[in-house]
This record gives sequence, structure tokens and C-alpha cells, in this order.
Amino acid sequence: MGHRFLYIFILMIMFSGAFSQNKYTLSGTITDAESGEDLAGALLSVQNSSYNTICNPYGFYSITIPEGNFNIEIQFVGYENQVLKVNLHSNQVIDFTMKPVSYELENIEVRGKSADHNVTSLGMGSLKINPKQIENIPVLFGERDLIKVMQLLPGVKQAGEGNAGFYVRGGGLDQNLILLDEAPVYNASHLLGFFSVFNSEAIRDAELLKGSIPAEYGGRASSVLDIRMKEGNLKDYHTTGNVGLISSNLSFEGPIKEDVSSFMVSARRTYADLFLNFAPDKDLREAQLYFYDLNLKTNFKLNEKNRLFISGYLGRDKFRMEDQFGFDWGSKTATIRLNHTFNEKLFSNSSFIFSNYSYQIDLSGDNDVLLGSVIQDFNLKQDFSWYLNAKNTLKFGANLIFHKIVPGEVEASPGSVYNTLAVRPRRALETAVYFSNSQQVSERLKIYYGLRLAFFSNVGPGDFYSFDSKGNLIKTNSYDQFIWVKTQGGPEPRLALNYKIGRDDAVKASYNRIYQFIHLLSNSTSSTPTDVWLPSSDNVKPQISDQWSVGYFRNSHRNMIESSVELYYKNLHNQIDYRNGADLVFNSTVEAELVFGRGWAYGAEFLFRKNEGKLTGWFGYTWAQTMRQFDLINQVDQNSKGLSFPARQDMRHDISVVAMYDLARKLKISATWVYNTGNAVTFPNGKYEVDGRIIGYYTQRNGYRMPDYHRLDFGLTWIRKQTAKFESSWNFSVYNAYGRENAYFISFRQNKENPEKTEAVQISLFKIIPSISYKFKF
Amino acid sequence: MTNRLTYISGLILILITSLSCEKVIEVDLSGSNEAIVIEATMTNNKLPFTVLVSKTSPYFGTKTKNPVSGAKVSIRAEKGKTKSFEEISPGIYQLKGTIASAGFWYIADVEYDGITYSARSFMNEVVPISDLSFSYFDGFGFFDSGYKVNTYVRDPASKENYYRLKYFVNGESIDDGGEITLYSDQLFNGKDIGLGQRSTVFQETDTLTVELQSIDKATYNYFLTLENISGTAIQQSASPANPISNFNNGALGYFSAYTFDRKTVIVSDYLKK
Repeated sequence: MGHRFLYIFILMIMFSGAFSQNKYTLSGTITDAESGEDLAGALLSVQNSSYNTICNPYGFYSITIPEGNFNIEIQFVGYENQVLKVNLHSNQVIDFTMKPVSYELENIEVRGKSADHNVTSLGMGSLKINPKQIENIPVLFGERDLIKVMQLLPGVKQAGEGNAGFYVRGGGLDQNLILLDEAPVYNASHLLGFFSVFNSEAIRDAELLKGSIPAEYGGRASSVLDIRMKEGNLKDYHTTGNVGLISSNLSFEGPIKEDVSSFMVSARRTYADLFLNFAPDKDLREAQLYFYDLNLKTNFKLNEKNRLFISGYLGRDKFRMEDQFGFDWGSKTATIRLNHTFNEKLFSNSSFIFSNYSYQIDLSGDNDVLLGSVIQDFNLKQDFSWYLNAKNTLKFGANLIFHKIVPGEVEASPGSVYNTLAVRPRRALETAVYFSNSQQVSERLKIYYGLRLAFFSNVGPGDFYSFDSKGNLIKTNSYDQFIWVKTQGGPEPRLALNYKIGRDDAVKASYNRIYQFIHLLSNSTSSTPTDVWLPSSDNVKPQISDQWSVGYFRNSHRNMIESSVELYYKNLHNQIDYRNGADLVFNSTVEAELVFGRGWAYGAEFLFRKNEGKLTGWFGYTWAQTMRQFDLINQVDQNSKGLSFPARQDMRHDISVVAMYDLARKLKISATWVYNTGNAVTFPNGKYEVDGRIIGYYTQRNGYRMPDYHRLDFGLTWIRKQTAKFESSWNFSVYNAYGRENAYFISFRQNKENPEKTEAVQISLFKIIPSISYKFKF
Repeated sequence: MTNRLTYISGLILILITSLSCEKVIEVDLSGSNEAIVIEATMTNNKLPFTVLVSKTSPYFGTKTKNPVSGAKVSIRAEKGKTKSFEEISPGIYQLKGTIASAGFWYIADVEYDGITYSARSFMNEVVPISDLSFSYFDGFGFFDSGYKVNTYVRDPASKENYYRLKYFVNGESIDDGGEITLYSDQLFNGKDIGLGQRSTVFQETDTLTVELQSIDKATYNYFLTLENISGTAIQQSASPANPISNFNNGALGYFSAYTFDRKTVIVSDYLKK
């Protein structure tokens, strides 16, 4: 398979290069004129031709075009367009700087990031957001959150009220590859999911890929959320702060040496526990409940050809009740990377990445015992971009990740009544190599083809288990250090095409296969701090997704309005669930508790988006269906094969409307409205009495539906002051403005007065939540 | 231990979601075929062996009990004689005057409507309560103040042990906040340990009886999975399922052959000590 693909690949490139004439390469960087930061995603196009290229995430571009005199245009959202005359008769390096649009200029037409990108790019089901664009969207508790905005897009479903977890096109919560400066983030939420770990003041931009996923990404079956931190202003020092009701943040950035190196540091802390001071109860007053985040980034231009970036993230939630118990959890990531420009056509990025997620529960109060779990990665990554010629851009590279997972550990002090228990750590090596080419076949047709070979090897030291068909342990095999135990994986083809029908519309199609080797075991409706990641092994096959999608994309009103319709079908193999009553945390043979099945999802997504003018925003609608089937779940009786059932995230209709309006130069208002039909849920079909209590009788998995969900939010931003030296603004928002009591969950219980009676009870979380925050920058 | 984690997560959730509200709603639940429910218990004590046989009923129906009369109920030791039960009132079957010994497998058979439902349970040796201790709990948030009891056991090191604790105040069984107090010795095998309780608190005048049941793994699993779908509604399981029964042929319920030890104290007497 791999060989054949490689052969076709080489053939295609040779073929496309066969007509070459005299061509030269224009390359360089595109940066912000004021801060000196890279403008990843900026578009460079040659006027009156079909030649164009997009800056890579490090602000580097390269384009090869026939000899001649051209007008080169550069465009990026929020920046003034620029046109430069270029006489190209040899290879040239041109570094562009772009001026941000100032508020005075705002009424002048500002073209978005490559105005017709929606139609011309190969990307499908992808969306880029930068925090500035979404500044005015109303949010819960006034806490701006990129992930919450992503959830307002078609095909992305929120994992419960106010939750930062999300499902993409029928995939699981663990099937999203969430990267912060290339480092995977294993638990992206704080405070039981109500906040994401991404402090938007520290974020430069974020891109969600749900359809066509390029070959440089792998490891999660359904989507990629690629988040990049700000790099720090290379010219001036700036301080930015936000003061909100439940959290505040402060960021500081500036040059270390002007135009050569800079830094950015941003910190955020919630102070929800300050409210506990008003509690009548002494213990509650002394309780701690907060989280903090710290983002750091620095970069150095070592010389013309090399640039070094170092970035890190540290975030932790803390919960403590006197000396009784403490519970804290959080992530750490670090990325060191080197950009190297070999020549005007070949660009390289080398990264060393560290990621760690852990939680710890301290029961020292009564029992002198610590419980905990850790997942840790060391990751080496090498990527090359080769701007071969006008028609071909090649990418290739390799990735090596060393995983260590400690599923559960109990550390008892010598005097403790508990025994120390360690479920032996699991170690594994994930390897991948990839190559891809995006090729302009003709004026109208652009294609992308890539292949990623992904493998996962369990390595010693560690214990591996053999089970019989009923899940009883037959044999434990212990392996020594560096012993290869089991390798799984395979080829992942990635294909995409864009066929331009007219000037303003295009048809796109894509196919991806992705392997996922580590899996999240969770039985709660959202991610919780104690979720366990489980690696593939001799008992656990990797999850595999196959996704086909087609779409029609159209721009109108001079690219002011973008619209698209996308259809997708996704097949998920080796999906994981577990037996009833499984102990997932302190169980070395947790694999015996697992059951395997398959899933499929399909849907249609409609998006209309207006990017310019006084009124901006979008309307999105999704129709979707998501199913699962397991032999051992949802059986009619013990001997039959389980019936297929809707997945928890199955939701037929989903609408979101986002509108932002500039009322006056210093006053902006916004509103969002979301509506979705209820997701699938399991309710009892009958009842009976056991042990003196009334118990529900369950016959069908996810056989019922939650009530419809809808909600309206309002936001208002009032810019108090705006000068070159100082900016300040107030933001007011109202979450759930008409006080809809949306069901968070529905439980069934005996009536308190009359235990003979049983009733269904709906729990709603947030009725009307107003919030206010103040932002300043100098 | 997992339960404890859930409990702590639940606590955090209570703190943040004090803004939440609840209301009783109408839910349209379709009916289902009736299933048979068997609750069979036997001990090494002089208590009669009791088997309750019933059927499921519609969830919002007025009838809670749906007893099944005319079933043939019997129990035998693995290699012993079959002893038949007598139906003393509808759905309640009893066997008096028989004493079972620990250390054996027992088999319960319930025959009804031409189907025999069977389950096996192993009767473990008695693990005595070595001591009780009380500690005062200040209470916080929604939790009342009062005394909490610790039940001490010397866990036998030689094998896996599973415990269920039940509490009686002035002779009345109390449900510890609707929760089922279960322990497996996975984390404390062979140690002297105080087994704590959860929500309920006791007052000085209370006469408290603690019952420590030594149960088998199947019973432990049954109650563990039963607790997932009952008790406090906070942190409800995302995919509730019927508890794991040791009965075959699709019967709900369980068969538990267990031994127990009890200790009774007046809280104030203990405090004087």
C-alpha cells in the first residue's frame, strides 16, 4: 500500500513539473508592522493570476512563479491590504510588514484573511479564530473562551451546559487533538469543565480542523484544534489586564532585544473561593477552590536563517477542605522549537515537546494517603515544507512520542491504614512519518494527497495481561526495559480536492483515515479530573476513523458573505466502552472491563457568514446522526448481539446564530442564540424494589431524548478610552437572557413525602447570569 | 475508592452549582416487558432465609410492589440437599430452622412460569467488628453536624474480602444518605482499619447498631452497580444500566449468602469511655 502510494506520488509531481519554464522563487516572512509578530495564515497572491500562497504557522512564505513583472498583494484579517510591484528575474527574499487596521479606518473596506479563501483553499470544515475577532461575543461569567466560540459552529457540539468539552462530527470527547504550541493537552478544562485551559489573552489564534485533516496531524480520530500562543511584541512593551467577576488576568509582553527577541507572559486566576468567605460555615470559609494558568513564550531570531521559540504552559485546579482532603489537577506543557530556512524553497521546523497531565487527591486528614494518576509525553517532531515549484508544495516529516501513563497510584505513608498500591505504568512509543503534496493541477483544480504512516508500540518495563473470553485474567506477562511488546498501526491516506466552478464558488471533497492509539475512559457526561487515558495494547486495538466529506462553497457580495454546505460520513472502528460497574481507576487489569464496537456518523452542515461591515456574524445549522454498536451493550438478552444505539452526543438539529453590531464607534453590541434538539439519554422503562429502595429498570441504551435546548445571550462592549498609549473598555454580558431552564440532567427518584411515588426531576444550571469585566491595555 | 472520588467530585459540583435549580417534570416513558426480580439472602445466623420474588412495574405507576406468587423457591449447598421455601405472604418466601455454615457455595433456584432462575453465592467467614470509634463532625454546607462512626476490623490477609456496613438507630435501619456503604480490601488487605461512613451523623442519645456484613464478590459487585443508579442524583452515570445480577436467565436482583457481626452502643456511653 505504502509503496504504491509513494510511486503514484512521485509520478504526479514529475508530471506536474514537466512544463516548467523560467521560474523564480519569492520567499520571506510576513509580520505585524507594530509588534513584529508573525502573521501565520496571511495570504500572498499574484494579481491577475491564480498564483497564491499562505504563510505557514511561523510566518514564512515561499512562492515560485514564472519570470516577469507582477503586482504582489498581501492580505490578512484585521490588517491593511498591501500591493507591491516586483520584477522577478532571480530568486528574491522579501519580508513584508503589515499595518493593523486602526479604528479610524474601520469603515473602510477591510478584506478578511484572503477574501476568497473560503472558496480557493483546499481546507474543508476548518475554521480559524483569533481572540480579537470574538472579543465581543457574550460569554458565561464574562470569561472569553475560544473553545466556547468553536462550539457555536456547525458540526461542533458542546459537552453539556457551559462545558468546555466538545464533540466533533459524532466523534468522542477524546477524539480531538488539542494542541497548544504543538503540545497535546490531555485535559483542556478547569473547574469540572466550565472553563477551558486556554486564557484568551495568551492566544494568538486557533484553528479547528474537522473535515480535511492534513498529514502532518495525527493521533486523534475526529478533529484537530491547533492553538498558538502569542509570541510577544518585538518593538514595544505592553501590559494587558482583564478584571472580571470570578477571574482576572494580567499579561505582559515586549522585546528582550528589539526586533531580535521578545517575550510574552500571561497569568490568570479565578477567585470563586472568595465568595466562600461569606459562607455561614467556618469550614466552607476556609475551603479553597480556584484555578490558575500561566503562559510563557519567548523567541529569538538567532540569525537570518534560524529562529528559536520556547513556550510553556502551567495550569492547575486546587480544591481543599481544611485538612480533610485536597484535590488538585492540571497540565504542564513545554515546547522548544527551531525554525530553519535552508533556502528560499525549503523550510524546516524542529520541535521538542513535553506534556504532562496529573491529578492528586490528598486524604491525609484521616488516612495518610495520596491518590494520583499521571500521563506524560516526550515528543520529538521534525517537519519540512518544500515549496517545490509554482504548482507543488510538499510537506514531509516525522514524529516520535514517548508516552508514560500511570493509571492510578495510592501512596500510603508508613503509618497509614492503607497499603501502597501502584498500577504499573504503561510505556509506549508512538511514531509517524508523513509526506504530502498540494498541487495546482489546472486553473480550476487543486488537489492534496498525503500519506501518514502511524505506529504505536508498547514497550517494557511493564505488565501485560491475557484474558479469557469472560474477562478473567489467565496470565500476566512481565517485560523488562526496552522490550518491544506489541506494535500496531498502519497507513493513513489523506486526500482533498478543490474544483473551482466559477469565480465565486467551488466544490471540495476530502477523505481521511486516522489512527488513535490512546483512549479516554470516562463514564460521566463531561470530562472530569479523574478521567483515565488508556494506551492501545495487545488487548486494545487502536481506534480508526474514516471520513468522507464533500462541500459546496460560495462567496457573494464581493466575498463579504461566505456560505457553505458540507456533507460528511464518518466510520469509526474499534470504539471503546466498558462493562457495567468497571473500576477504571485503581485497576491494573482494566482492559478486561472493556468492550469494543463500532460507530458511524453522518450529517449536513450549513454556514452563512458575514465578515465585514457594521453587522458581522454567522448562522449555522447542522443536521446529524451519530450511532454506536457494541456486541455486548444494548443486548435484548445475554446471548444476542447488541443492537445499535444513538451515541450520547447524537443530536438531530442544531442551530446557532451569532451577531455583532457596531452601534457607534465606541459601542458594540452582540447576541448569540443557540437551539438544539435533545441529545440521547438512558431513562428507566420500569421500576422495582430491591434492598428497600426503588430502582429503575433499564432496557435500552440511550433510548430517550433530553428536552430541546435553547438560549439567548447578550453582550455589550463600551470602549472608554482609546489612545495610542492607553486603551480601556467595559464588557457587560448576560448569559441565558430569557432565563430558559435548560435541562442539565434528569434524574429519577422517590418522592420525599411519599416514597411510594416516583418522579422525574430536571436539574438546570444557569438561569440568568449577568457579568461584567473591565479590560485595559497600555 | 472510585466511589469516594465520585463523592469528592460531587462535592465540588455542589459548590459551583449552588446556582442550579430543580423541578419535577413530566417524562413520557414507554412501557417494557415485565422482568422478574429476585432478592435472596441467607446467613449463618438463626434468622430465616428470605427470598422476595416480584416483577417490574411501569415507572410512574402507582404500584411499587408487584409480588409474584406461586414460585418454587429452593436453596442448597453445592453438594448438599435441596431445601424448599414456603410462601408466607404474596411474593415472600421463607425457610426457617436451617443453619448454613460459612466456607461453602450455595445455590438458589427460583422456578416460575416454566423458567428456573439460578444464582450462586459463597458464604465467607465472619469478620468481627473489633471496635467502634466516634469522631465529631462540624458539618459544612449542606451537611449536618454530629458524630460519625468508624468501624474497626482486622482484615484477614489470606484472601479478598468484601464488606457492606448497615447502621440502625434505636433499632431502625437508616440509609446512609441513600448510599450503600461498601468496601473491598483491595487497598487495605491484611490491615487493621477503620471503615468510615458517609452522610449520616449520630447524636449523643442515639443507640446505634452497626452491622458488618462479610459478603462475596458477586454481592459486592451487585451493590456497587446498584449504587451507580440510585442514591444521590448528583453526578449521575452517563449510561445507567441494570446492576450486575448473579442470577441467570435475565432475572434482576441478587442472591447473597453472607455472615455478619453486630455491635450496639449508646453514643454517649462510648464518649464517656
